[in-house]
Amino acid sequence: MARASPAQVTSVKLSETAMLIYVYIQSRSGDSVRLRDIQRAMNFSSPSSALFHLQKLESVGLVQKDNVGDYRIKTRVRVSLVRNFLIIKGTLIPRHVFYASATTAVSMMYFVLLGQFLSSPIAIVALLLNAGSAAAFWYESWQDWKTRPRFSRRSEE
Amino acid sequence: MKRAFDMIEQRFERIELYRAPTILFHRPIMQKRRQVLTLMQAAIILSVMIVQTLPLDLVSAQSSSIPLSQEFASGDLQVSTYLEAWYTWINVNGTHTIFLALHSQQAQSPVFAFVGQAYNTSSGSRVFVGNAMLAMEVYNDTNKNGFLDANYGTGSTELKYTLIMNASQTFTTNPVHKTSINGSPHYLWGITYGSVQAILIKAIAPDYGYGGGIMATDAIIDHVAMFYDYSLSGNTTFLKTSYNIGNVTLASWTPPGVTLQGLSLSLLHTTLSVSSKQLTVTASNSPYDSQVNTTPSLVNVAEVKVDNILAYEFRFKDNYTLFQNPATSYPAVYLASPSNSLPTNAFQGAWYDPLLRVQNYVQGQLPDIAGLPATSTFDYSRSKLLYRISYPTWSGNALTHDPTYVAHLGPGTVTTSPPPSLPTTILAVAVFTGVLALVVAVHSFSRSRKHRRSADELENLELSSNPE
Repeated sequence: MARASPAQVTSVKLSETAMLIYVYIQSRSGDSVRLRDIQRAMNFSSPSSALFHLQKLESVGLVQKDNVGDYRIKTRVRVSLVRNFLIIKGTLIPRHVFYASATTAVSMMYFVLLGQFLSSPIAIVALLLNAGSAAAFWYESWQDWKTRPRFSRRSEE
Repeated sequence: MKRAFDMIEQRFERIELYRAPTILFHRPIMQKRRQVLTLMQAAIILSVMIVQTLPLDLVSAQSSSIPLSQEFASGDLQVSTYLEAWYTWINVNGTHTIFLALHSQQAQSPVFAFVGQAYNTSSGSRVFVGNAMLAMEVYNDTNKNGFLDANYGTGSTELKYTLIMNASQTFTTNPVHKTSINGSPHYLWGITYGSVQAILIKAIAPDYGYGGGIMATDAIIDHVAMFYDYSLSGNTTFLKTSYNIGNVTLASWTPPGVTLQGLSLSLLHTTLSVSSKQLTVTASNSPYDSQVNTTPSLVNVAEVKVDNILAYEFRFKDNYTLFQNPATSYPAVYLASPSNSLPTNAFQGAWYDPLLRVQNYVQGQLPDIAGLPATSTFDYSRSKLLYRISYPTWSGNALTHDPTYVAHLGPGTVTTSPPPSLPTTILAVAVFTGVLALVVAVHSFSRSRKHRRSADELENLELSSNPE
């Protein structure tokens, strides 16, 4: 009885610029993207730089070129550059924002419920635990937001 | 060199391309489940550790064991080692009524009960009025005026014995219950001390039997019961008290000459009146202060006024029933008594330890119970109104008597509500969610920081594909 062959794994190294271009195309919500848009978004001086990275992405099967020469996502992969983010309608939102919002709402609810028992040490500890984790999540969200990939606005004109 | 290269390689993020088969999907899902389980375990362990480490005794100290937020309740409180107090608590329309009866589950029960009421007067002042029976006095009404004549300043007294209730064999309770009588709510409760072992102490200087002294004989009181009917009508509350004292039987070895025949009984009461405002007492429409007045005063009604507004009434005009053959009704005699009608060292003996413990307990719990400052003075011996309920015809027979106490409240004013007890379930959930959030945060941050890459790092992709 023949045994199933394991999946073949190919290790490929891509530059951050290439992955940024991949993220940019991904953020366009499935639309095909023109070469010139990519050049503007990445602030390249010429389209050839963009083309170099696109060919690299194309060669590993992450993007594909259509008949009119525009690029679109061929294979979706999780990119560590934006692993801390969710892409919602082309906008990168730090994942921690959702945790922060939830813990903030929970902290406020507990504050309303336990506000009159602040003379009790256990109530203070409970509120501090929740408020502290909310604050930590907001801080991390801010840190993620500061390091988010940025694309030039000119590309959207 | 190779090792350095390996280290750099390890820093690269691995990204798996999921275009393939199921086996590649399962591994990360299982890993995630394991991670979630580990996080939950860590949160639970940390929550338990936090809750165990915290000073939970402070939590319980925040709330009295009396359920102050409930409308009414009965139960037991630990007043001191070997001494419990059975309580009844009523919280209605801004008035807080507390009844305490001492008893012991380890030893024979002492016999003592206290009832007090906290409320707002119509002037908006908070007031607490309580009263307790301090002593049973057996006297020989030689001048037939119906009450006990005593002036220890001059050394004259009609007192023959004090009847000290040492311990009861049984203690039974009737927990508070609410009923409606003629459309108004009534709260009923009571206690019965059964087979009370008592001591008859001779009235001889210097103690005259109040703080101890020479025993005349032992006695058994069949029972001492106190039943209460608390009702509310408009801005007035009525506390009808029913005393039920059983036959007093002297010990068989009682020496000749010691007898209760022909003697009268007087129940010495003290009142505790505490207010944040000026408080005065009148007995039969004349100002009276047991610490100032030197002569007793027969009274039909005694009043406590706060800022000159009537706050509390002791309605002293009723009859008692004596269970002789046949049962007969007699008028009870009420007497506002000066402090000189008690020996100077009264209530300082060991017999009155339970009384002092209740005094301390009530004072300690006063902020919760009455909404009054803990600095309020609670000293029975400095009471402004000592009074005696006298039963001139007695001879040791059983009797019942129903004096009524009336409180005049403010018009629906409730300035102090009892502090709510800690919501322990919410607290436990809050601690758990807080710890869980922190654990998730710590775990999440360590991962997210790995993903914040410097701009010159390369993305290392492991692209897997199914063999076709």
